[in-house]
Amino acid sequence: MNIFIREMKTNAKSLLIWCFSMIFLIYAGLLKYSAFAKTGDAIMQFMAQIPDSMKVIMGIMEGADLTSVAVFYSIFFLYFILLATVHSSMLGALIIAKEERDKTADFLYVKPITRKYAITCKIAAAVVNILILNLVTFAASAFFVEQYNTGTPLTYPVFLICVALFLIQLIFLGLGLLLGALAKNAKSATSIVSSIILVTFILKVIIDLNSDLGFLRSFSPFLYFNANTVMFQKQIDPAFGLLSIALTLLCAAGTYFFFNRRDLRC
Amino acid sequence: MNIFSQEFKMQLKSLLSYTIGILLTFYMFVSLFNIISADTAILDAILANFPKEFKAAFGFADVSLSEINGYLSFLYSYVILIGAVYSMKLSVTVLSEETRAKTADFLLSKPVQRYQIVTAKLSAVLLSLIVQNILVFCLCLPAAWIVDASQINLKFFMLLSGSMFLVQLFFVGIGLFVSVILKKIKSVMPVTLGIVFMFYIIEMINQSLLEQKLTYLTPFSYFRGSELLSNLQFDFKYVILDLTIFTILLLMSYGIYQRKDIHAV
Amino acid sequence: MQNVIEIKNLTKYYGKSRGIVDVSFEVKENEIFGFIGPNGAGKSTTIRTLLALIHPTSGSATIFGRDCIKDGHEIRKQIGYLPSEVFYYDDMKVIELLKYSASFYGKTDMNRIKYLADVMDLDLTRKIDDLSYGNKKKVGIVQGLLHNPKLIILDEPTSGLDPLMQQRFFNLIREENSKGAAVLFSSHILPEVQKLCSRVAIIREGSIVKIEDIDALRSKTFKQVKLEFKSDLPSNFASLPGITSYTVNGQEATFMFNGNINSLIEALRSYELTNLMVEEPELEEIFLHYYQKEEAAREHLFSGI
Repeated sequence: MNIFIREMKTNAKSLLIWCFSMIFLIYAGLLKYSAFAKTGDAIMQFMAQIPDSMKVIMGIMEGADLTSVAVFYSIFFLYFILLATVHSSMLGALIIAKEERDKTADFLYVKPITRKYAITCKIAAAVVNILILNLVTFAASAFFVEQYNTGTPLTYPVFLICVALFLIQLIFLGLGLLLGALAKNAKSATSIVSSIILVTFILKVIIDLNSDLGFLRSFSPFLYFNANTVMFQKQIDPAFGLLSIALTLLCAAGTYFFFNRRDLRC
Repeated sequence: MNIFSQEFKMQLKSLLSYTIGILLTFYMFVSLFNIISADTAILDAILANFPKEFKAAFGFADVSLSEINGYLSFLYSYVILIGAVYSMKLSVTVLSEETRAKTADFLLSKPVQRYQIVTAKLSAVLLSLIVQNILVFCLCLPAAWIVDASQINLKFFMLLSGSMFLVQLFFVGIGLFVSVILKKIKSVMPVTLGIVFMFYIIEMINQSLLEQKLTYLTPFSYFRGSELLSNLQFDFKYVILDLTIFTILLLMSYGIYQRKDIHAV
Repeated sequence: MQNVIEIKNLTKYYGKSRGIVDVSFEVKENEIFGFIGPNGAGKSTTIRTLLALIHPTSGSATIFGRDCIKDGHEIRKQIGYLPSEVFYYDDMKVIELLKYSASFYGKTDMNRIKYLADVMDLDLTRKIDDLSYGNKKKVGIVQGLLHNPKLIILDEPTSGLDPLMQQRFFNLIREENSKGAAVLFSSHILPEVQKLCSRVAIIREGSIVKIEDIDALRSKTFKQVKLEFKSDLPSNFASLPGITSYTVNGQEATFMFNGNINSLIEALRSYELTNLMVEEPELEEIFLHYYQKEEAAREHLFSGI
């Protein structure tokens, strides 16, 4: 319990900065929405004519009203993921690796605790952190979206977007944790997980471009949940939802396993 | 200079990894060109009828993905993203690593002035960037050539490559500055990714805006591929802005590092 | 008397390079046991295995009769560890770190913390980041002792402490020992080991080379005797049993002696001396003998051991 409290305190400042960044992102983006909304009808005509394959890239649904806040907001999904991915993966990797990096491992792991206990406290603190970021995202989104919304309340679709976001946060948290337990040091862990972020991001772009590569979709969490499907069909793909949870649990199990066996260097 | 060569040697592994990453990305995208271009040709026909605003909203603006140059400008934005992360990481690391690795006491007690240390390290960073840019240019152009030789506009490709270097310079300035004003940087990657992605996201938002007011705020917007293609030259006010920011941040970094207290390990 | 620590054939290889090989020794209840050896000999490796920070390749180590790795989290309730390199969470104040440390052992005894901090002259309100190395060491000392551990493991504990603080620290250790604690004391500072420990193990290149009582070590060695005679040197002196390496320089006779000291005095009675010097070799010399790789010039000093 004490380790959990300590982790929460240590990460508080950083979490605050990330939350503010998220709020600012939502605010700034939606602020400009009003300017965009003025171009109304012409967009509808345009939408009717584009081939389906291009809709994937543009992220537009059949018959969607582009001037609605909803569509505009769905484009934000990608930005949320980018921000949250960096946050959760770095958090995961460092929360494990920093004890050796800062040479406090000789203090902490000599205490009468099992490594399992220490890891559990750290994971718990990390999950709470990403949950807070997620809730802040939800609150800010719901608030600002409703400011501009003229149609039916969008709170539920926004909520679903945040749920999808949380699942992706969990995956990258898990990856970070696993690498923190496996990699030689903090520098390695953060570098490797950064590469994974870049690779999966670029993979998403490539798969978007070429639908033939769709079978590779499971390799990039950026693609697990389609913003439009979530917002307009109000549906989170259960298969990918389960995959997310399974991946996260696998990474967590791996973290425990490898960290228990690790020789702690200081 | 010994510091320069030591620093450059230490950067070699990173240089190799990131450059290979860029090359792989480029080759992957480029190999998909033929498949993409068929689809996009239809889109282009429609797009031609619509005003600029709509295209801007979807991030395509004036480019046509069905044509090799347009495709290159689209794909290059991702290459530049990787390059930006790389240059940011390098420049945040150079000065702060001494404190992290506890070698500050070693280096700073040698008969060298602080500004000499900064210059040596900065030179190593610039050399790494130049080497990377040359490698990328020399190894990517042939790949693009193979895919569609007839249409490639060489001047455009050179502008694209140059734009990566300019964006990287921006982040060298930011990275150095951040590394001297922060009292202690425990891990380089969170700071690097956080800042670079922030600028990248501003660019993404900027793209979907009509008036694109945020252009001044992010280097990723200064030298947009689409504009380079249509104008076939840099927008010089942005080149000057980029270099000015770089220079100012650089000078400030020198000044701050000169006076910074280096604490005991 | 129970053994607090029992190490049997403990071996650790880091990949191909040897850490320690077949290390075996015991630390008895309530004893202060010294653990010395040259740099890189394997002292830290042994200690880190006892604390389950690293996993042994083979062999066993038990503390209080329980396996160090498997039951580590239980037995560490009774262990206090003072590492040689002290690093703590920078954003904390001293008192916060001590409270955090105490929270792992159950109830926090503030009186004890204040007492220890007082003895070591440690300011509880300062930020850890602002402390000098020596002061951080003091934090380590208080942190390692505040839960009244039954086994105290010290790794170079006095490096960084000024001489006064070193004395206070040793008094603390003696105090704990008198209360029943056993101490495993790893150090390079041989006079300290000599002062505090009753037994010592010497490790070199990954293996134990000697385990011995401190007193026994001293008594088995030769004494160096130097005599200055007023007039002529006795001619048959060198044949006295127990004398070796007899050398003469003018009216000075120098030799090694490990026989009965009384017979030496008897023999000297008939002579007039201007000076008599009897030296016991410093334990430092004894230890260095084990540290050195080549045969030392004073090898003959130790031929009795």
